[in-house]
Amino acid sequence: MGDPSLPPSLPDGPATPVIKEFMPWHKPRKQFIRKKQWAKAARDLLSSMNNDQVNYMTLPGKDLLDIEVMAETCRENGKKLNFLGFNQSSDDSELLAQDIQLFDTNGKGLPFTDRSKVLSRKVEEINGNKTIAKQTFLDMGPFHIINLDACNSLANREWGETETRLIDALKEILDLQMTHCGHDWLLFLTTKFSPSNIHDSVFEKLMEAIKCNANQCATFRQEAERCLGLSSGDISLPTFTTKPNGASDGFVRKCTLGLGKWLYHQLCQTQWNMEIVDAYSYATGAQNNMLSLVMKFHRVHQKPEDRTGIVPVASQNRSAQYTDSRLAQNLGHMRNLDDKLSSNDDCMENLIEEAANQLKQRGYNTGNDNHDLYREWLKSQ
Amino acid sequence: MVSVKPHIALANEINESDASNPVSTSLDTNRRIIRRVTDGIYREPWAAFRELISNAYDADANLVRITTDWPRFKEIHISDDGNGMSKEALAYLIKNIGGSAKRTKTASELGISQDGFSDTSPGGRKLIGKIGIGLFAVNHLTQHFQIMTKKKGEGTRTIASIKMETYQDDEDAETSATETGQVLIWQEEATNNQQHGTTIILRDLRPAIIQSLQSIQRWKAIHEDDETSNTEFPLAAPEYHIGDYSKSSNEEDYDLKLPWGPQVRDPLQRFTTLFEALSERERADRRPDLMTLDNYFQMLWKLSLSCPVDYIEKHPFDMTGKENMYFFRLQNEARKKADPSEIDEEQTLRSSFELKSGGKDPAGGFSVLFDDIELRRPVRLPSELMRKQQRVDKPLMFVGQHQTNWTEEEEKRGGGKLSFEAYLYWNSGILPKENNGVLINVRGASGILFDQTFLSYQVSEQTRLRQITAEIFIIEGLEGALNADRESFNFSHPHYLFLRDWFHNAVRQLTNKHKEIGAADLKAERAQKQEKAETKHKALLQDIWIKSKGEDEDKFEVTFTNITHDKTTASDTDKSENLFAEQAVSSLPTRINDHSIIWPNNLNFEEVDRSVVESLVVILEAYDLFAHLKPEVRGNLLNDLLSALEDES
Repeated sequence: MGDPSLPPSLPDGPATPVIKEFMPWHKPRKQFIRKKQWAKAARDLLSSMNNDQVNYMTLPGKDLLDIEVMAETCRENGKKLNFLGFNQSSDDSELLAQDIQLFDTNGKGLPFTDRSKVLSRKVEEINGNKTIAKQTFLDMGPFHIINLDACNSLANREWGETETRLIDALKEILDLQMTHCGHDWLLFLTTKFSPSNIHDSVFEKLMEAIKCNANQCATFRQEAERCLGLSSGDISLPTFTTKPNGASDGFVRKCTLGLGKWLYHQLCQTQWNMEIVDAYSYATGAQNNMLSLVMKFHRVHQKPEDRTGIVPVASQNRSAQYTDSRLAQNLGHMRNLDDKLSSNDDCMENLIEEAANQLKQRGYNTGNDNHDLYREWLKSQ
Repeated sequence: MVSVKPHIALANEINESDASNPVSTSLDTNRRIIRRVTDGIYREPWAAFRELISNAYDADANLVRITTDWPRFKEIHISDDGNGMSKEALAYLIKNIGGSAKRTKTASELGISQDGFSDTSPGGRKLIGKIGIGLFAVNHLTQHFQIMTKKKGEGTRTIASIKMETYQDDEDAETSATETGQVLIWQEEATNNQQHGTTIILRDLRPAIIQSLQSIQRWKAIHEDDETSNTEFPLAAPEYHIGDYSKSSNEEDYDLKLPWGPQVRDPLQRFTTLFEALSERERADRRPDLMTLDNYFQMLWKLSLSCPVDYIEKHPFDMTGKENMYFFRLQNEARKKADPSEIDEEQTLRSSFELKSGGKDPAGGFSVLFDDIELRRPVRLPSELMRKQQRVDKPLMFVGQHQTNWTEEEEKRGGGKLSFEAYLYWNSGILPKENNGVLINVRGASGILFDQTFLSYQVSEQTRLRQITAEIFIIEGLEGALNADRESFNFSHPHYLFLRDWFHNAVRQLTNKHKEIGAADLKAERAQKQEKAETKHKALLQDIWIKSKGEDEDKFEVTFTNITHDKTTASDTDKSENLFAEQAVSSLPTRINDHSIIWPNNLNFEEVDRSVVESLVVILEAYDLFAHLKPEVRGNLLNDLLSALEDES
């Protein structure tokens, strides 16, 4: 640190406006995820909620598109949105762009609480003991909806290596939610599952979890093999835990099932259960490599076991409960979003129109009334 | 045509002048002073926030949110839902630092004041800002900030990105420009036409400001103290703080201690908890003061005192006659006593004394949220005494109002009209301790906080001054007496002097009334004791009388008369030589029932207790020892007995 009596060294001039360019999250399929996957799941949760306020944690990016969609969903249901966003950037202009967007979003008359905020911190900081990210999470939580729209890797490093991984933050979030939460809640998880961005040891552990479960439960094995498009007995083969070279839909499915097993393993030790509500995969390259998952967590009542035998109530085996084949069954219904949209022109057209209008409102140049510039950009992708 | 510099032109005119033809000109201020002022004139960070909050107030905002990324303090957002600035108003601001349009004719053209009332915001508030350096108070915090603003009904929002320059001491006055920084301004389409408000984002805060907000100097001093084992006067660590960053900048390394627990989330409840922490009455160690807090919480405290926000409970003028207090009306004339006032239980002080201050906000209310803490004026005037066993048995509340009554010519010399309202409150203890003194509110805002010298009041008044909290609400004037930083007064300004004299007179009325009530209480207590003793004494004599005379006998009745006699002194051994003896008057018994008593002119005793002499007379009569004596002998007998009793004592 330099001499604190001096002002910091600043760029030559004031922060400049950002030239607005279309980004991957401006595509119609992300609009689908926001409106048809996230908002739909949120609507279902909100309809059964007694609270007037929805606590929402998110990684909103500079456009805050998800916050707006959630606020609209809240408005439809007569509720207020209390959001906490995490977004750290060292780029002045990008921060300015986000602030301008926040200024505009706040001015739309949407039902935000006064405490809603975007924190200039990485979500991974939640993992620390006394970090402000964690303090703020605890102060504004527990949350009804947590949206980890990460677009990058969950664990491309081993535990303990350099910086905290997203999966470490996810584990901490689960712990905090399960300790402090008394209501059902949703987890939206968007992440990239390609062989190059998941560490070998992490992949191996995820696959071992599936294998172990399959060895204990024939129904699970059957459902898992069906979900992963494998032949009977393939899970037991040594190649099952070997990481392939290229991305594929199968790889996304395997990782997702492994992740589900990992989550169940956490829940096993608590009074919580989880179900997969909705799952999509899509491609950012030639092959499917992205997962967009919606999970619902709810409390379960577990009867205490009477070990004295005076009232010999049979104990519930939580482990057995969670080796339920429903996880594999649900993941078997995971759909390829690119395929789904390309086969439905009307739906695609609606999404293009909706996304383009939203971007236009945010100052993006989408072109003429038919949004020709936006459509051109889509074609180039 | 070559333009001649103004001072050269004036010098040329002076050259041509003589006594019959003097040069008449005006005094002009160099713009360079503004350049200097915008570089920062405040002493502490809170003052800069105060200016930004005042700007939001002037823009009819109902809510101001200040969000910092504490404890890092790398960036700060200040958002309000006020009127926002039109492009013209923003342009004016950028091009006229130090020349605010507020309270000028231009103001209504720019939409920042009411048509025809340049002194008032469009929503009807009296404008706090005047000079136009408020926004650039941020330069105290950072040189890098952005403004985004939008007016209702406009289809676009305007963004200004600003970088200020540091004022150079060695700038050549001739060549340096009055330019203070660079600005980029642009418009963006707004989604909602109805949106209005302004957001200011401060980035890259000055390291010294960050260190100040983190209380680094204080923590360092505490650690140095620990190392040197200073046990005589150890520095106390703040009780409530946002963490000790002095040893490491790693967030993992510090423990913060907030006044509230994790369950307290309501912004107002948080502030109330902070207030209560500073108002704890019973503490084994010491009464809490601002040093109980670190710089961050101190900043919140000072801001809450300086902003036009609601009181933590209610405005003092909203108190009613239900309060268990003595109410007084302050007199404006010197040497007059404050008048006791009866206030109906349902009547407020405002209606009873016909006051204006603290009334309903014409723009619909004003709140400030600072990092999820709702700031409120931390002043509460309890009806109960903070310390019992006082001569004055309940709090005293003095209310007054005054204004200059100057002629037009005097007003010109005095800087215009001045009018104000005030209260002075006495309690046996003022809590929080920081509220002892007088706070002057100019248009609801104050930059000076509580002045514990009571505007340099010169009379010590024993402990009384430490038991007073007072506020003055300026209705009109005094702004000319405020220095540019709003943190001090020009002590020679006529408004300040007028106000100071009135206030000192008010303090005098309070202390005199306090003494008067105390003295009356003491007198009443003495009288009560005396009465009690007399009753007891009478009963005793009655018993003696009945025992001796029987129950059928008439009651005794002793008549006391003022007797003039020679004054007796201890050295008066030979009274015959004392030709010019002084005279004295004593109240002595001259009759008991039918028997009179005649006292000698020279008494042998100096002072006599009424009850003692009465006892002698009654007992002597009860035993019939008086009946056969002449009145003169009765007097001599009593004179000798009293003399002997006095010697004995």
